[in-house]
Amino acid sequence: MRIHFTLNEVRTEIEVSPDATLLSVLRDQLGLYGVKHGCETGECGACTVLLDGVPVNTCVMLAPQVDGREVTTIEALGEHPDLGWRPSAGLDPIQQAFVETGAIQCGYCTPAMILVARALLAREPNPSEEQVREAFSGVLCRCTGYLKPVQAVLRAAAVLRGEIVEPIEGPIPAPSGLFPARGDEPREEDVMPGGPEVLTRTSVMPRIIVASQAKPRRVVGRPEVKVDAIKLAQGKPAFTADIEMRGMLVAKILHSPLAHACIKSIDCSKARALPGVAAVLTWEDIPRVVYSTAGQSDPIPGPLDSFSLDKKVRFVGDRVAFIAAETESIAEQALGLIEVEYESLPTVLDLEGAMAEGAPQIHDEPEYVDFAESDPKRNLAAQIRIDIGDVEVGFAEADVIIEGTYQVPKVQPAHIEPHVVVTYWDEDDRLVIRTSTQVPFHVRRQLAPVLCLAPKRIRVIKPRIGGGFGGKQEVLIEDVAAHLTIATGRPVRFEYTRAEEFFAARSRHPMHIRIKTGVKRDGTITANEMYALSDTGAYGCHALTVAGNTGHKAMALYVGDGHYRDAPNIRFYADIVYTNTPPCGAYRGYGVPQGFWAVERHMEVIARQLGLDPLAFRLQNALRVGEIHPFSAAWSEGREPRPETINTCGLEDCVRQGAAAIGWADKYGDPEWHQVPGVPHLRRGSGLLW
Amino acid sequence: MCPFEFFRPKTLAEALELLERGVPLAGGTALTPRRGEKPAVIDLRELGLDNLEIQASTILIGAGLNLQKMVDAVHILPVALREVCIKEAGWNLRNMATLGGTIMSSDGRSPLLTVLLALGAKAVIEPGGNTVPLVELLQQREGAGFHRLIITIQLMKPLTLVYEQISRTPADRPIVCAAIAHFPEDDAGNLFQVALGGFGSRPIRVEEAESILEGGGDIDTAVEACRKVYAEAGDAWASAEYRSHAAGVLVRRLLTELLS
Repeated sequence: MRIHFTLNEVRTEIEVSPDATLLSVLRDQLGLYGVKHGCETGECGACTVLLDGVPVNTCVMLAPQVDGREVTTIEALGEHPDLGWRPSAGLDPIQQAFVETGAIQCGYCTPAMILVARALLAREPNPSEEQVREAFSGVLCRCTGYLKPVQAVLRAAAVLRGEIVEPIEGPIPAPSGLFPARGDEPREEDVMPGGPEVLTRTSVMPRIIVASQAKPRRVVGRPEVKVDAIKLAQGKPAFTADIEMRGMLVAKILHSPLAHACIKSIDCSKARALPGVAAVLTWEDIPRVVYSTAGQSDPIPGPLDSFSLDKKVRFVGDRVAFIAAETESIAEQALGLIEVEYESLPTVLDLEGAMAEGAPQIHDEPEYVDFAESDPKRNLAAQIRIDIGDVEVGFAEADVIIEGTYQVPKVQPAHIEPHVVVTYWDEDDRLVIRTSTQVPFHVRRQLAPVLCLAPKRIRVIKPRIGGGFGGKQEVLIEDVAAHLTIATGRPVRFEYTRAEEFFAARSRHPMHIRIKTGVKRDGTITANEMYALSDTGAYGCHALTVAGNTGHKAMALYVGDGHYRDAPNIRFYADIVYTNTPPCGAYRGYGVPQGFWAVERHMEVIARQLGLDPLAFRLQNALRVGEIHPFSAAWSEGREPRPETINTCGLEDCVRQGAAAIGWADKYGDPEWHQVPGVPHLRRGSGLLW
Repeated sequence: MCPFEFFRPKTLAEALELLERGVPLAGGTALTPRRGEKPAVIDLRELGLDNLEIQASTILIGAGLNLQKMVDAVHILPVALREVCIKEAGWNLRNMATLGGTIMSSDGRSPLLTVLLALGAKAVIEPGGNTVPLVELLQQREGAGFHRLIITIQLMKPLTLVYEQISRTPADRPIVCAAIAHFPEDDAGNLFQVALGGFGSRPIRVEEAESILEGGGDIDTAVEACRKVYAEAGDAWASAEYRSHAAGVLVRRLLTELLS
């Protein structure tokens, strides 16, 4: 059907499919790549445009709905300040403020934020911080936490009102004596104001202490515009999917509906016969090459247990077949035409039962390559046993033994840009893989054998990525498009849906953690023991190294006091097991948050049980400058360990300043402070961990 | 595959005729992701259903009014009603989602539906021009073949309207929420209307608690009636025990505020 609308002040008439979203029309038909795909349900707002001046989400709007209306995209705002001989109008003041304040991290949600800000300032030229935050309520940012964007909008508002704003030129030195020295009581002015009205300080630069002996520098210690801020503020086509190619196919995966099954037969004849389908691939069509999808250096510190396509599926969402078609709807239609006969197998869904006697074996393929004592017969992807000192002696020397168990759930990174890849043969017959990845070199090295190509025949291009957070430290979907390009000779684009991100991408490893600690009455830790049972899901990607860091970092902090500092007693054991659940992988902190979540809760339990000040107890036992990192001589992500000395550590200063900033001494242990005057059902709290 | 059709009728009569062929499209926020299940959509944009009118004891809101316009109706709509519109969705979606569409697509975790129940909302439905209590409409919408249009929502003007919720974050959907509306004594309806939400396919009215309050019963008894209706309300977000307890806490807090 034909629709007429005003697009960026230009009268536009186009033919659209009645069921096409406005998002797909703007991107795929009109090439406006500043409008981003983040979800398909209106949750994230990356696809924001202004419709008759107000922000709306184009992923949940049908293109015919804008007939007769006015649409504004980021492409309507501003232009590069330097256009050669032609005078430039420059960036829009809002874009300029985003660039100046450092409000752009990955830049994927930036066009949406700028458009929302434009709509807000048109309606309220002098917004409060609360109004700015409320305006952003429809746009999810996973990188910056909104502080800088809020500052940018307030700054832009001032500029648009004609006010003079201070240039952002250099560090703002902290006032003399701001930070209390050791032993000082916190002063009233050190305690930052709080409450719902005051969340953002509009001062853009952080307070920086400039050492008196430091020489002034032109760049270091001064604000610098991010190298790609100008293009990101304009919504230029900087991301993987922001590309047009003649004859590009769209890929889809047929996912397994069963958690554990053998594929007895696949009939793709109907799917292949569907007009518009270019290729359908199953495990019978491509080479059987075992590999690991974990983006890590060679040799991969983990088991090789994955195939591009296999005759066995190991979780709901595992791969069964790949399809490439002329359009997304044809590809989706073809998925429904593939007939698969499964032989359902018993499942392992609970990590506690994964290694039980008689548990179903998830990996029984003969090609399996183990690493670090993995044992697929017991569903054991990796095992860690580290003993430092002698914990049994330490426990015997303790006055009290305190034990606890802690659980950490599976967590999705939820980067706003989904996994997306475009592949094609270039003029030198190199396979080009344009991909949203954190590990471009690993993609090339690891996929070369899978695709039966020499590494020099593969070129990986990593454009800007719209968030990764570890979730893209995985060679996750590049092989899908690559196989289909090899099969068809044509460019192929493959992009996960938001649903696929949840059931077929990687997440944080869930863990069950037990901790046992020996402590003397004076607070000295004499021994510390952790056992982590980690669930890697159906494949062992990052199994060893993530769990290793759980102990390596979290269990290294509290070594004990007195002579225990020289010879701490620490034990860290971990079993990383397979289950028939979506695989886990890297995610911010790489196993460390799991460990610290448990350790810090455990330290709090100990402090409370023994009546110790939780701050003092922690600092009493914490690792200090000049000491050896206790794990450095024992473990190094599957490689040769080397002792490391702690040369700098700001922990004590950090704790002192942080405690002063939140008024810890006045609040902790004061029951009256926890009451909220006039609101009897409310309590307020103050806590800490590191 | 049957081709998908898009209609934009100019009159109500045209729209009603088309209802046999497809489903009404208001803002599209809930329908667009599920468009593959539908043969056709009927865009209601040109029917002029976005009116907002205040009468002596009632408020009339067109089903096509979007939630942001309800937020912006500063001196017209009760504060708590405007606030739950903000809780219902972020700014972008509020510029799209309509009152009628929200009623037809929201589940028990909707703050707006919960407050509308407490306000004794009624829907004027076409064809037929019947006025249907929201409680009944929420049951009927789940049946197959609901080929009707909500034209207007009627609300009784309350003396006071209060709402509280418990959620994982201030912007998240509630795990438990409660709304209580207090109406003038000479009103044909009840003096108090109590609604609970945060669970299941729709919020619920707690008529037992309302009767207790109108009969001069004490807060404790009314709270216990509210706890009882969520005694089995367990799901992935909260156990029944927690939800039941929290419902009681919220209702007690709201009644204390109202009666003071």
